[in-house]
Amino acid sequence: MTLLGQATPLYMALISFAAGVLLFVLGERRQRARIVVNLVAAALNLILVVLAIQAVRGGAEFLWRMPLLPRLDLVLRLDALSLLFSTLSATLWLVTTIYAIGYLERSPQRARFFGFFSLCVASTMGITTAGNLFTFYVFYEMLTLATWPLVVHRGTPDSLAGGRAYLCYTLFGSALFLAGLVWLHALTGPQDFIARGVVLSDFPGDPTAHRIIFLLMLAGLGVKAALVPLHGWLPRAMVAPAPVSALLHAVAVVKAGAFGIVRLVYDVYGSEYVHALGMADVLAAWAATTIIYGSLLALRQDNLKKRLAYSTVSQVSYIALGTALAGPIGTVGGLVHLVHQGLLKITLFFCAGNYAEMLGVKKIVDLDGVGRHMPWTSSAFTLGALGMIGLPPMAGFISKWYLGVGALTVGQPWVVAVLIASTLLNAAYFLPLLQRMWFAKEPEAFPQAKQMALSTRLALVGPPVVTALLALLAGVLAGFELSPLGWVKGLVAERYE
Amino acid sequence: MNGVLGITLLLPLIGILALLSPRLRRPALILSPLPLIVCAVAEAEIAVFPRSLLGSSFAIDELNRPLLLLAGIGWCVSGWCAGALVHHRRGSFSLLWLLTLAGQVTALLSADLATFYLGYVLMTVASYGLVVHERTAAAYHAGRVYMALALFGEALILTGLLSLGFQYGNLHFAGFASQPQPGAASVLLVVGFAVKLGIVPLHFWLPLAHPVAPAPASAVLSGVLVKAGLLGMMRFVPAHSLGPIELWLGLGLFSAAYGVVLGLLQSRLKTTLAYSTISQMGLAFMGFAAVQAGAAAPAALGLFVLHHGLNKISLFLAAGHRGSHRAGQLWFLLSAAALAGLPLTSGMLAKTALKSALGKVDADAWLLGLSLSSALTTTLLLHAFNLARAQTKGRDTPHPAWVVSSLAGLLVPWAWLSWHQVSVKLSVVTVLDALWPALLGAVVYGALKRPLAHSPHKVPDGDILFVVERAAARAWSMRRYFPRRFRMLRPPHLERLLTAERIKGVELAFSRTSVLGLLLLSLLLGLWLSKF
Repeated sequence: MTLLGQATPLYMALISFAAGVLLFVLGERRQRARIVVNLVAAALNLILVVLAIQAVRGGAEFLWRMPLLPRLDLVLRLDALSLLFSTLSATLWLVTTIYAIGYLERSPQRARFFGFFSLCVASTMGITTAGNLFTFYVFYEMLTLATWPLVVHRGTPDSLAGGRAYLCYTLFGSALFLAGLVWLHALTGPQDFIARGVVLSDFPGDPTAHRIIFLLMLAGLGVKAALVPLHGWLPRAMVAPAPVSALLHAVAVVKAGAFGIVRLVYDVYGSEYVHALGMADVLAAWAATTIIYGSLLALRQDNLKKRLAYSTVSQVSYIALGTALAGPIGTVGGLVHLVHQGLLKITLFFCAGNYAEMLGVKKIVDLDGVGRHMPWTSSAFTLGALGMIGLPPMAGFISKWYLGVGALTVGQPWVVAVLIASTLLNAAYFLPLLQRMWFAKEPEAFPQAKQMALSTRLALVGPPVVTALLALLAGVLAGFELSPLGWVKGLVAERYE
Repeated sequence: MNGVLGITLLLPLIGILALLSPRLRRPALILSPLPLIVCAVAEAEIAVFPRSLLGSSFAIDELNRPLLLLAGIGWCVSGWCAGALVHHRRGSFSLLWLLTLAGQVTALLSADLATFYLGYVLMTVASYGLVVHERTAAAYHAGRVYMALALFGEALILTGLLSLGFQYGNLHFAGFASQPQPGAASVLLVVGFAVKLGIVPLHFWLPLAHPVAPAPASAVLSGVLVKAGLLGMMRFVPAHSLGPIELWLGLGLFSAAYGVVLGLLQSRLKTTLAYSTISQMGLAFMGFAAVQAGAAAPAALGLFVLHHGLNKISLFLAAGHRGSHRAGQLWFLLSAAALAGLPLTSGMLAKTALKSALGKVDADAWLLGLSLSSALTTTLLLHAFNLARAQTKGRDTPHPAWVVSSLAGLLVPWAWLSWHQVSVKLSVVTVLDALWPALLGAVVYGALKRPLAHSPHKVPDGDILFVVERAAARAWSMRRYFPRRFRMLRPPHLERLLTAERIKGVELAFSRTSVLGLLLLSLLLGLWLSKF
């Protein structure tokens, strides 16, 4: 506490921001300096988060407030929920940075890439630590803009089209969110996030207005969280380089939407009020539709990354589904999936990138026999896929267990049916990949097998192995207090007495 | 906790590490399952690890003891045999073998929902690799069918487990059996586990998957793995929660008869043996139904499972040998006689125990059915013996592991009986009761031998599978009637709405004076209206 001031959450965002600026200044040529800046910033951030976790467990509070306009403050704060997400972001940022250094070896425009990459993380840190809806919105928009150059990084017509789709969707969502934000602000004045929500009934405005505001903001967040039919940008944005897709799907953009939904339900409206308004059922039905629809479309894809993208559409809605369940157990399931899905999905995208980069394998039919060729990557992929299906002892099982039991506790058995259907669909689109990898006959030659230096190989293969092991440990050691599950249980207890 | 549990659980994983050195491969396969035997005779105990998974616990109790013994002996002899019978891809075979073993051990020893499910899933998924080991088209097909049905079962099991977890939490499940529980969850669990047992009509993966695997793998699949389903039922389905017992008894008996009839129509040894497993598991399922209704002690069922598993392993190991060897024929006949329940064999013991259990259900018809099924088993095994003698491929002299398993099948159930005091009354009547079905079966076989020999292989592998596959194909072809995407859920093409031309058009429209005037007017109107 003495070491870290009240402005700790600000530093967390600033470190990445400064790194981004520094990377732009350093320019394209100074590769070694760039690597050092990248790694040092990522490591510093992680250290800061770890220190903050210790301090918060010890009962410390971090709150940094800056008046921006009259009655409009920029508030950054660290609570258990923001620490959950910032730990995930900081950890995966470090891992992804290492991966990206290996992946983008000898490709042009690296300064631009890493600069925006850092800005993207800075905005994510801002989103996690935002202490009110306005601050959240500021960083949410910053994220939209910082991510676009990453999506179109390759500059091909394909990626430009993908980036265009991305911007159109997200800006449309932002407009909706802003409308809701302004309306709510007009009703209640400035309000910080507060566990169990602001008591909206104390303020002017009838429940219908509250419902409309909720739907506006939900739709705004739903664009990034890829709720059907607002998901169209996500599969098209997978033209981005693999590290970007990995970060996009696991931490940054999609998760920002899901995290926003969590904040909106628990810390703005309050779970009970959302139920009283009948909006929880809307959210649950919406999430359930997305889960099934995303999985069905994933089945139809023959491109590996596209299949993974649709799988994200489906899996991220687990979080929304858990949020919509009234009881504490379902909430645990949803929130813990925020972390679990991140670990699992980043593993899968890293692996997909490795197959494309090392062997030129992009289509599912070309996956035959890659297991023997790239055993480490394929083992990581296998763990990730089994976790996505939700098989123990992977982390995905823990999420599913809590979601299912939570749904039964609040008397909504149909959710179990959705979970089981999703499990079967996940199995239907992941197991054939594993079968091809490990049991199919190896082809004469892979599309574009490349020879790589050992260090590059390590940078590419190490990250997925690490994240896969983390996902395994998050499941096997779920009972520990510092596991994602333990942490989420603590913060949920705060929201349900 | 004492160390035995820990060593038993960890040894398969240590074995996997040992695979890094090819020289340690054989010892790893043989030694990894051995601690299971120690567990089977160790003191009853429970070990709890609250921090792992959802809180894991492991236990040795009267329910899993016979299975522990069976798994210990079965995996050990099969692993020993695998060293001699498996020639290709030994590395990957050993890895999948040990992974399956690790799953099996976890499932057998676990004492909470999540850990049991972990073991069960690991076992199921890893054994896929054993099924497709030969990498032939038939193997892939069998693997696909196996996986599809297994996943179907898994989904039902998970649903059932979730509802148990909702009611009791994920705790040690010794208490379940006495708790009331909604019938729906019980039925889901029973049907889910019945897939593993191969109860008709969920049996058709079994005659496909067991024969295509290498002989030692078939042995553990048919001898040990299927029994995990039975343990699941015993663990999670409490007494009197399934409704009318006759339904389940009937299902079991039907499976028993169905397996024999279909098995007789097969002309390959392993397929015939797989059908025999279906038939025998039908009997075990009847035993489970009796335990369910409170009529029998689980120990009787345990004895039956032990007896069937050991003898079936021996028969499947025989399938890896050539049929011309005299001693080999003798060992085959010994195991077959035991399985058919000839007097003074372990089969007589097991069936007597099962009968005394069913006797309490008070229906002579079931007893008669059981005796007739013994007769049918004799017929089927004689058919199998005929096929075994005609085997032309495989090892010549009997592998010592096979001899050991055959002897174990004969002797271990007796030892088990004397140690556990399962109430089996042995008398002249029992012996006669065992004798007449066997004679009847032999007579039937004599009558059928000629017609069977002249019409080989009329039934396709997996009998009713082709119906299912045709239905699936038809359902798949129906998809052309569905739109490529559900129109309602099509993502709006926002970016197409915002093309430069269109924006320019909107811009132009706004620049017209008439439009501006209208806008201004409506704004004024709005302001004026807001005053009221």
